[in-house]
Amino acid sequence: MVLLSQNTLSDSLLYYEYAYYKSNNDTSKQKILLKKIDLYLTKNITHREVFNEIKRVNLNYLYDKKIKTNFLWNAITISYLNNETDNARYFLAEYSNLKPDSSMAFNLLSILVNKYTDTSDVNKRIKYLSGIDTVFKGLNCFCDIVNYNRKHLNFYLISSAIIPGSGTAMNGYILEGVLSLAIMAGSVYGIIKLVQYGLYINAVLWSTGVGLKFYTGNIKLTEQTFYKAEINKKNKLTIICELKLKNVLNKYPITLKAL
Amino acid sequence: MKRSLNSFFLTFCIAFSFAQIDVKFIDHLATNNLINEHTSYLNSLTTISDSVYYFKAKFNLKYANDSGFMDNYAKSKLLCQKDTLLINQASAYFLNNNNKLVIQTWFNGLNENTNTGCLGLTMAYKASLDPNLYTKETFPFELQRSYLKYKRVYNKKPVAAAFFSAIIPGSGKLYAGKTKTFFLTFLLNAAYAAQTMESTKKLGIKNPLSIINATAFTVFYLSNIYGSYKAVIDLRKERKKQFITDATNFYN
Repeated sequence: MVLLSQNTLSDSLLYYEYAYYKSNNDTSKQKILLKKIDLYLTKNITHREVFNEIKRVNLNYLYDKKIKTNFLWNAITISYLNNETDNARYFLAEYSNLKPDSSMAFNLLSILVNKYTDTSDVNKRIKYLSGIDTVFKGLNCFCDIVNYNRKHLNFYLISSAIIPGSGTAMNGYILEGVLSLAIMAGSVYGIIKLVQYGLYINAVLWSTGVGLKFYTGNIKLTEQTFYKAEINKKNKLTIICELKLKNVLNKYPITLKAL
Repeated sequence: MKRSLNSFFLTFCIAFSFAQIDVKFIDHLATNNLINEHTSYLNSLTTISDSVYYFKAKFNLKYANDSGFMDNYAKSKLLCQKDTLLINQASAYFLNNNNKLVIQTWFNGLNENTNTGCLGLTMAYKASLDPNLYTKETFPFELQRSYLKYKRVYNKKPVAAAFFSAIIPGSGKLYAGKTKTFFLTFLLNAAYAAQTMESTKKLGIKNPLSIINATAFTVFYLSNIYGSYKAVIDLRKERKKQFITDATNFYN
């Protein structure tokens, strides 16, 4: 180990990789990979390269239960940190199969991994953790985000079809709604005037070209603002929720385990 | 286990001091996309030889470092040119590159006596610059259609398309091969002209509506001319890209 400490991280990684390459034994190979991962973790590196090393590990050749559980724990955490939720969920399932764990850290990690997908599991774990500390109750907001869906889109669309801009205004975009109404009113007034002056070609072309475009555009705008309002609301909830999560993690940090 | 690992490292260090290149190990590093380890290994090779530059060139090509590849390729040209796969990969990579200067340097520096794939890609590169240099028989059957499509569009003049559109609105689009757009543009121009004429006739040229109609018509008419000019240029780019992609897929 004296030799390793004298080298840079890249050199040490290369040494391990060469040992991996030269090794003919699959079990030894996995152990070397674990050493590489451990080396990254001791330097507090958890980025994509560590995740790639984790993916190279063959679980079938990890015979020591403690090492395997520690590896899976780190694998869940690192996959989560690299936004690889599918992999995180896979490692989580493997970990649960290997070792039934009811610790606070494991429940918290499960909540992190499943916070935007499995609401029933997240709810169950939050309920359990809330019994220990009420700070966990705040994490219910993740379920609110997943379940949040604005309703009655058709109502807004029909409203805009009858009174142009009204649906858009009801979605919270008042200026755009008023502008839609003004444009439509102006177009209709203009077309009526054209007919009064006997400019029939102009009336037909302005109404089919410009008027119709404004009218359908106003309905499309209502639909866009409907979803935009939904996204905005979800983003606001996410910011508040992530802040709550940060507080929880400050109080109950999730630590990586030595391999 | 620790002991055996340490002894491994020691052997490894000794092996490095002799600076023998382990080709299979390099392949292993490349296959597993271990960029850090790959860089360290190549940097640890103390002997300066063609082989080292060759492996560095391969490394830089894999990780899309143009200048690094060109530097090391220049230092190990003979060795690199013996590696058919490397030359083909590099040719395909540069053919799809956006940097014209790099593409030019690469293809001009290629030895004419290289392999079929490389010759094909060089020819595709030259044809992409001027398809009139070749005939369709020069290319294999699978590429002929793509080549002819590009050649046909290459010989169309953007200025001619603009000129046609100025005479009959939309005809430039027809010249560029966009028949549907031609009918739509022609009808819209006719409609704008009709409403301008009607308002001018009934309200006079100085009436705001006539001015608005005339302005709209002029803008639409001029943009149709520019649109036709651009349609030919865009079609050229599109067909050229398609031809290059087809050539790359065929020779690689």
